[in-house]
Amino acid sequence: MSRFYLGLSTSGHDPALALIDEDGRIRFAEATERFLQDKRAWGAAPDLVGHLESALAAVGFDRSADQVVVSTSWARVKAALPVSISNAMLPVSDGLWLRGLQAHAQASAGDSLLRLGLAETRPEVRHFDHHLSHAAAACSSAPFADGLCLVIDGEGDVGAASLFRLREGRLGRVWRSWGPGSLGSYYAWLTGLCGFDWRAGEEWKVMGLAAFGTPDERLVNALESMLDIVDGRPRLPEQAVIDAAVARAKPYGRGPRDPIERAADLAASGQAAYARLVDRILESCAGLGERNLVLSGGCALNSSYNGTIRGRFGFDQVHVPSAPADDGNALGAALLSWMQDHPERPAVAGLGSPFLGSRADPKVIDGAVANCGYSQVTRAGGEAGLAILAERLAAGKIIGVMRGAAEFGPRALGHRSILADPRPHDMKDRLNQRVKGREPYRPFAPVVPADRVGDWFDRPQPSPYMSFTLPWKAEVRDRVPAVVHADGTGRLQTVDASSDPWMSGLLSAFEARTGVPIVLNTSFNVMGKPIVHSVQDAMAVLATTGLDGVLLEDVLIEKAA
Amino acid sequence: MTKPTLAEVTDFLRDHVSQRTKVPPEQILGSTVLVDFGLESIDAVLISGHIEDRFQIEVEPSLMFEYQTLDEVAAAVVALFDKR
Repeated sequence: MSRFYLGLSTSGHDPALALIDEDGRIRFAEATERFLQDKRAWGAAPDLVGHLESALAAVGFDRSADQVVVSTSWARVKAALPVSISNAMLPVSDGLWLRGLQAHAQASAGDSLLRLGLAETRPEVRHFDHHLSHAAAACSSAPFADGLCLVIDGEGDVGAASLFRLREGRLGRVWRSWGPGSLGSYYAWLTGLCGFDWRAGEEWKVMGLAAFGTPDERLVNALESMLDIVDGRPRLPEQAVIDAAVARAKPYGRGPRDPIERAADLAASGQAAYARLVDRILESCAGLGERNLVLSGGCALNSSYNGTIRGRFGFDQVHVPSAPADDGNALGAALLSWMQDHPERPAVAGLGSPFLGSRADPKVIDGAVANCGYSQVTRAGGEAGLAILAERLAAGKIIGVMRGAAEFGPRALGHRSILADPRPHDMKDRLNQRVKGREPYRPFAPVVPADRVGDWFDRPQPSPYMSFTLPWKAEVRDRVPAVVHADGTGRLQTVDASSDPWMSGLLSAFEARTGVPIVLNTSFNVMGKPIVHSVQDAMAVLATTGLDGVLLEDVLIEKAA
Repeated sequence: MTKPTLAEVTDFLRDHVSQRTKVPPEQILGSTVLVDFGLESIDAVLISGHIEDRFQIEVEPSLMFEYQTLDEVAAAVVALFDKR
């Protein structure tokens, strides 16, 4: 008999599940949006029957002998306390909606075990603090065992920021903020004023657009005043201060149908204000004398800011996990549950692999090969396969890749990616027009060999999960224009042969043909849809877009040239 | 942190309730129900945070809602030290 620890992200948005085995090994983790093919999967159960069933199958769960222990990523139901919802940044209606979703997710967590015949009564469920769940998940993949862990997000069990100290892999809370002062809510509000929708996860667009604008000093000051930072804790100032800032910012805003560039200066100013606010939190941490920082919570997806931290505030190393937002909390809840039962065992310290999700079904790959009707099917693994793929990319082909276990977190890191040549000036437009359908102001990302980052970027540092945006060296920007953003930066993924031999080999093969060891990597999806989950999803993108081919494990299916 | 006295916690709470409600501290009696001073739910949340920071003890967010008066809240905070 074995015991599996099932962690569930129960925020009501970005549901996810994770499974850890009796030995503390992370065996599976995946966001529900992938399974449902519905972005952010608002309101969906994190233990959705079909998804949980497939996850249990993937880890070899034996229903006749094994047990499941269920845990959630919140200590309590937020709506259970009679706390009025702040309307300082977001409308009360949004807050009420979120609370309702969270209450439902918390209340029904684990019920799918009844449907699957794995429980006869509603299972006992363990509940863990939201920010502690973030921290546990983030620290399990950190390349160090001591340091600080800062969690900043929209909201947690009592506030929107927590600081933990990591000692030999164990977490202890230093402080947590209370009340509605929230960097996440601030950024969501900013997203709305820029004419985008935070509920659709469009904070990315603000970050992308910021590169086209110029921060307006007086606007930055006003936006910064929307939050006080008191001993590191974000707090709301007096309402009059917020009202004055909103009044100053409003003329810079744009309606959803206005030209995008209208909001560029607002986006740049809002991002600059965000940076100043988080700087002030980190300044308050500097006195604690730690050299390593783990950053998590939804705000840790702000790769533009993340790339500026290392070397400041006394931090030599900065780690951001592959899934810092609420989907990652499924893993945190599972880890905390396992640790609760194994207090004497060392804390879980993974190898940091983000490849924790579903795998392509080989039978469906065979079915695609037999029935797809595309003219070119090539089976080639190893060096030969890499050489063929590198040759296609160098010839300008755009190829979708589905190999191995899916990434846990929002970034495609080579297992569910669309790859292309970063050298042509028109590659970005071609990708957008033929495949992605994305707005032209949003950048595409590069994959770079970890040991060569310093040849291409200023402030070089590891970025295995595309968590950091860094400035390209001025002299190399013309060599890879499709992955250089308007402000000369790139949100890079670094790879090495030990952690990802396939991608590392592809970069070598591509360099052998082109002299450039860099490939463009964007997520394997079309605009508005999550990253592909099944082979059928991948084939649908091939069939309905200008994608030139898909690589399904070692099978390359291509359209006629 | 060592266990505070009931008087220390009571004084601390009285000051914070006074700051939030603008009611002079000498008018805030231990036996009066806090909401009667105009203490709102957000005030209760923020004061919970101050308790946690000042006395270095983890507080449940329900604390200020479970107990109605200043004396009851202060006694509950002191009792947290006994449970550690």
